[in-house]
Amino acid sequence: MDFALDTLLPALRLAVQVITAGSVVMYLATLGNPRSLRESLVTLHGLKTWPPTALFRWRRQEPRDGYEVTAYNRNTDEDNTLFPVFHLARWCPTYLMWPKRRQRTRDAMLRTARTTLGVKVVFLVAFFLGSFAVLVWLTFTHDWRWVVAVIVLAFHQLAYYVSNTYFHWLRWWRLLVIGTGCWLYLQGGVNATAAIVAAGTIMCSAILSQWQMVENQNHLNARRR
Amino acid sequence: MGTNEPDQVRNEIADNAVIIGPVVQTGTFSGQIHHHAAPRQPLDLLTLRQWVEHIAAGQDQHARQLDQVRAAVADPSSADAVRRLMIAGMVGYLARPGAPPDRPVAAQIVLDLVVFALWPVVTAKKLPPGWEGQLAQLTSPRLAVLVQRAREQPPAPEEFARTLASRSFTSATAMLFDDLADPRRGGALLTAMALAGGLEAPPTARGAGRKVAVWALVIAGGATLAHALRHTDSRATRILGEVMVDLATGPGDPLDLTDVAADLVDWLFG
Repeated sequence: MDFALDTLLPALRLAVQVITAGSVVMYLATLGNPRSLRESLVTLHGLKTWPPTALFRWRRQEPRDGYEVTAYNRNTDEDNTLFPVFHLARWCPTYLMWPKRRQRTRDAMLRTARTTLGVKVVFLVAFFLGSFAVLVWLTFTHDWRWVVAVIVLAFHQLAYYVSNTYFHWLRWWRLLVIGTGCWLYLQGGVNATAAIVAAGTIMCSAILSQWQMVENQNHLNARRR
Repeated sequence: MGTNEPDQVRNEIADNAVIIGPVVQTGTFSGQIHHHAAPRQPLDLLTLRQWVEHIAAGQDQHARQLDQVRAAVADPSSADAVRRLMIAGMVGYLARPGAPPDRPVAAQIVLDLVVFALWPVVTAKKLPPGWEGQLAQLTSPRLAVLVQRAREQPPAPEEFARTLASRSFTSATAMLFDDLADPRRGGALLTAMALAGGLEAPPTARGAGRKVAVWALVIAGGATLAHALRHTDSRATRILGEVMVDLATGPGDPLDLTDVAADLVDWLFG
């Protein structure tokens, strides 16, 4: 084992590169995840069920912001206000299209929903399918060990699709794992492959544990309701 | 100037106004319809178009806004036509004075304003897509649904007024005045139409819905309304208060109905 500074510094640089590239790829792939597209379709369909006279007002609420709807109720002959009708995730760039100061008509909301859907389709093709295509291409043309990255990304995206929750994979101890993995990788030989497989396994386990925690929480919330 | 000369005050307001067609009084919030000697009818699109063309002729100021209204009246399916039609209908009511009210009629004036503003929308054959939402945004979803139903089988103006009179639309009226007061929304158009119609310019500013409401009520109600508002416990004052209470007021400007009445009287008698 070589603990010299001239091996630690390249390991640190490689770790930063892996973390940066990994974060960006996971974030972009999540933007184009089919679940995001499905949510946009649900929003669009939900908006169409409201009458054209309904009015929508933006409301901030934890953990997700959304719109309250004021619509005429024939039974009571009054305008009823319902909140929250649908939620929006703040981490998605399409979120910026939604908050408006004045109340909006259903037509204006539908226009935004259609634009969002179009952007999500672009994200799906460019980011989601694009990420997998690039990683698979790297696996077949450069190094078979890129398959570990494909597996970690697939696992992360599956977890998002099922739970509709974005899992932040950057935690201090994972930085340590990536850093150690990079240092082992730079040692070469069997260590390099072992480091990649071990880092990939730890990442998948961490995502799985977070996923399970979210599922349990959702289950508890459902039982409380 | 005292309240003993209401007709003189009313004439001052109406001196430059253009009068086309009969004079109108449509209904009250109590559900009772009161026909006066010369009943006024809300303007259908054809009459409204003639009137708008008439007042816009030779007007150099606010030409762009007036052209927008003319375009909306000529082709109600153009974008943002709902607001333009409503403003044209409302100014059509204010600038075409009717017979002086025979009793305190704050509620009746508010109802008339709403009926006259909505009638061009009810009678327009074709409106732009999403007009229901635009109308709901200007007033309320409930009023928009009512107009939607009326358009399916257009009633007589009196019947439409009766339908409105049987319900309370104070929040819708407040929303409307709020829009009319905002120069970035209906304010500029209202000012242009009012000046072209021979009226005093409305006191438009953001959040000045209450002042615009008073402006409209003073023009329409004249001295009789001002006289009624001096008695702050009268029914007219109470109904006016219901309309005013939903209008936006700044944090340093709490709503006081007595102040509103005093403003109104000061405005009228100068």
